[in-house]
Amino acid sequence: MGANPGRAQRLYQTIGAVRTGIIILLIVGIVSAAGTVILQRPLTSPEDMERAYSPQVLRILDGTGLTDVYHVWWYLALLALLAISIICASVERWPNAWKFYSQPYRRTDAAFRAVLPLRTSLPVTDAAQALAAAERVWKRHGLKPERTVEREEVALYAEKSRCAVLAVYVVHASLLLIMLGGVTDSIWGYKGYVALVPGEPAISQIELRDNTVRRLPFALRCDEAGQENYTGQFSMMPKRWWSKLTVLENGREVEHKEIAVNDPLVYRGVRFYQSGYGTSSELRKTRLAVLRPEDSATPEAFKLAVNQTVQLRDGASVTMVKFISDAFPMDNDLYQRSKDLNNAAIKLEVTRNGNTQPVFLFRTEEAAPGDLTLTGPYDAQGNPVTQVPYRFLASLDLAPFTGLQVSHEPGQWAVWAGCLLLAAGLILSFWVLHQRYWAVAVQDKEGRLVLWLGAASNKKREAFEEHFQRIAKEIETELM
Amino acid sequence: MAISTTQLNAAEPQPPARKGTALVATVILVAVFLFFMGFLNVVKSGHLLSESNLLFASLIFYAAAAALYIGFGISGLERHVRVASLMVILGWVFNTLAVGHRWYAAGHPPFASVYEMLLCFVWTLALLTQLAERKYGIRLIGSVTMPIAVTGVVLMQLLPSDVHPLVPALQSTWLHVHVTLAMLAYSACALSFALAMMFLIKDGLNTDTFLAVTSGFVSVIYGALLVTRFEKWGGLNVVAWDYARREEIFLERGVRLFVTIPDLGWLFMLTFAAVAAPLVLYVIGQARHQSNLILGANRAFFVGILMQVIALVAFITRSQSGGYPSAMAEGVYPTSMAASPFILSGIIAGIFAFLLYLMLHWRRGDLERLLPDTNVLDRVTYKTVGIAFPLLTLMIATGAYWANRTWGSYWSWDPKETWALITWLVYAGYLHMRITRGWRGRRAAYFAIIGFAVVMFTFFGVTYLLPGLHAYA
Repeated sequence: MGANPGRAQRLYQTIGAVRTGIIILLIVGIVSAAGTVILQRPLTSPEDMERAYSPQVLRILDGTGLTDVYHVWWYLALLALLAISIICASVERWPNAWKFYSQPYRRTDAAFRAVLPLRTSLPVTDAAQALAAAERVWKRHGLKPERTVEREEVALYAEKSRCAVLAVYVVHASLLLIMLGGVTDSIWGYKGYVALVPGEPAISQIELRDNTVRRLPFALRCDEAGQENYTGQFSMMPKRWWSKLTVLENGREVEHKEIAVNDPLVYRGVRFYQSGYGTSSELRKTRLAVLRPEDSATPEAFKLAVNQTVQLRDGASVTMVKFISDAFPMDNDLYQRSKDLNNAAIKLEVTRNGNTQPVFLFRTEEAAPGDLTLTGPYDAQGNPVTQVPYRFLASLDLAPFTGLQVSHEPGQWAVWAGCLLLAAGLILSFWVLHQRYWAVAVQDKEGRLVLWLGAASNKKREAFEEHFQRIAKEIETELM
Repeated sequence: MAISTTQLNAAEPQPPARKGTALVATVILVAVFLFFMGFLNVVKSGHLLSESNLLFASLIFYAAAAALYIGFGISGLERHVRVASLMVILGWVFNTLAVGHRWYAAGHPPFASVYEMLLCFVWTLALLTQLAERKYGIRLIGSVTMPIAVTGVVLMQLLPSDVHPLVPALQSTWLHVHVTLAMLAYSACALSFALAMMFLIKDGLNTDTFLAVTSGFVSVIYGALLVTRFEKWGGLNVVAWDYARREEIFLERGVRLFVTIPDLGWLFMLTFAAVAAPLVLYVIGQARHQSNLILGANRAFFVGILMQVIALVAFITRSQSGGYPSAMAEGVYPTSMAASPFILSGIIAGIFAFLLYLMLHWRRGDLERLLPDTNVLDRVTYKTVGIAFPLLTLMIATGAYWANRTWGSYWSWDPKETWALITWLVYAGYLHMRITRGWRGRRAAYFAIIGFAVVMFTFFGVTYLLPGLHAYA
């Protein structure tokens, strides 16, 4: 019966020991470092993973969880162990700290006077006068002296920044608070992305980072979006992306906001951040210019839509067959590889004298998002076509999209509160000095009346010693 | 019985200490000469107070300070350290003017590129050097911090210095606060490293141990260089440089074009062997208790310096001339020193480290005389970490807050974030060992040195060796 509490007590003490904490810190550090060197799963594509590691190595890495080390169960267990260690260490030491904080030792009994390391004695003639002088000097140094009476002996006591004693507990408690916030977010929070095309109807589904879809309890619509570039020589650099967003609940517009980078929309705890602006693969308008190089006539310009045919001056006709946003060539034709805008191309059919010839136009450069220029004629492989005596220039208007990062982080308030508390705790810990001063008029060993002065601080011993000696000197001068 | 090199050195007659005036006069003459050259250039170009001129002025002053601090380390003469101090202050004034000029020209605080960050880092380092000297009386600290400052300014001269307006993600006040805190924190860590090294010198750590550590450190630099850039036929891969646009050549967004300088890889391989040789000889000598091997390690040191200088000259000349083929694209492309700023600064840092060891090797007695008591050094190291740690904490917190405002996520286990956290954990470990376990002296000094090694990896290794979100810093 007696053995069990002993073992539990020892386990409790081992977990709360500083050495345990440091060992856990070290392991967390090493594992975190490994996570930066070993490719991690959600961010790295499976093809890159297979290219970097051999199948056996990849199996070992996946099996041990090293490919998603920051979310694997044993890493989280380590962090939990760290939290438990901090809790045990704090709880174990708290009672003493609280006693020290709440019951300051004001007395100046003989035993205390003999043991305190930082002390000095000034010979005086009148006890009351000596104490009054000490009080004045202390007040000048920003201390608030209090008189304590014990068995008709009057003593002085002053203290500064007692809260610094508890700073350590504040620091560790704030670390726990931050971890709590992080855990809350990993369980109840989510992060995702949504691309809205301005003017299109509202959506209420977002794609999360782990590739699942989440429904929001409201809908979001983008009315307008744009990009501002810098002026002058930096006109190619984006200065600002903005979007005018509207939130709808049950079909009713409840909120409007124009967001920009670093200025998100927050609605019901869900935040929408302006993260980018670009060209989607949705074709709106096509302007086609046809030029015959051998005659110096001006080019013919047309507005075209897909499957529309236009007649040229010389009787030939041109049909826009299709627009491919991400083209790859196969069997002398172009096919769509993905819905992204990667390698834009247009297929035209030119009919002259009864013969139909397919030609392709490819991208030359992108002037600004939403504006695309294609030239030709080329074949599907990109080689110039000489059978048609025209040169084509197509200017495409693609719908822009605005990219928004979505996040819901209910635990972030705990994290920010924890950070502020941590900063306060560290400043208290390192830069605020807990100072205590005592003064009492007593008779020394030879029976003479002296003013005994003592002081203590929790750090910066040398500087504090000098400070104390200076105060003692001032009191001495005061008494003369 | 085996004798160590320290005993051998003590037995030899020490050459007479140099006269104070001679060194000061030489340094001032060289500085005046450089200023005169700069002035001629200014007259030609017409801009007097341009940013590069201000930076050039501060470079001259920092270099003069570095030379005089090292001279002080050797001679111990009062005049050296006083003029060195003055040089640091003058250099810092010009540095401040350069920062102000940059801020004004760019319209935003200088935090948008590596060039600008180095500008601020060097400024902070000079400030902290003066603070450590005046407040704590550690006058030798300039001999470590000023060479670092000089390396920083030299590196800056090579980096593209065009003023770029900020892309939307960088336009936040929180980012500027975060970067300021980072610069302050890292400078404080650098200072604690210098102090810990000085503690070990004063505490009597064997000179041979310093030999092994210096050799090991520079071997890591060359090792990392070779691992990332050695091309299998003996060439060295470097980024191609577009001289017209004064920027790196990109194949597509985020993908740099690498060219191969033939045979340079073999030279660097040889240099790696030369800088690692002292460490290898030391380890074998210690294991077999053969002191002549350790003597050999000291001799091998000179070969190491020679090879590094050859590597530096070869790198500079070959990177500035001609075109080189690429495995990634057809054709021949030029490169430049400016395309490989980190390789260059790595080589220069290696040479500096070896030179500092030589200073220790030849003048250890004088150095120990000039350094304050071990207790003082130990205490000030702790104080410096006590300044660095809260700053590191605030740096991480403000970085997280900025990331949250910009990308909606305050912590995404990005390599840079993770390594910043690891740095924080190491210094937390230092503080715990010191406060609660009473670790003082040598063990505390080792911990502080490891902490700074992690800081350097966070700043250089993450950008250079691990790709990630933080590609711009």
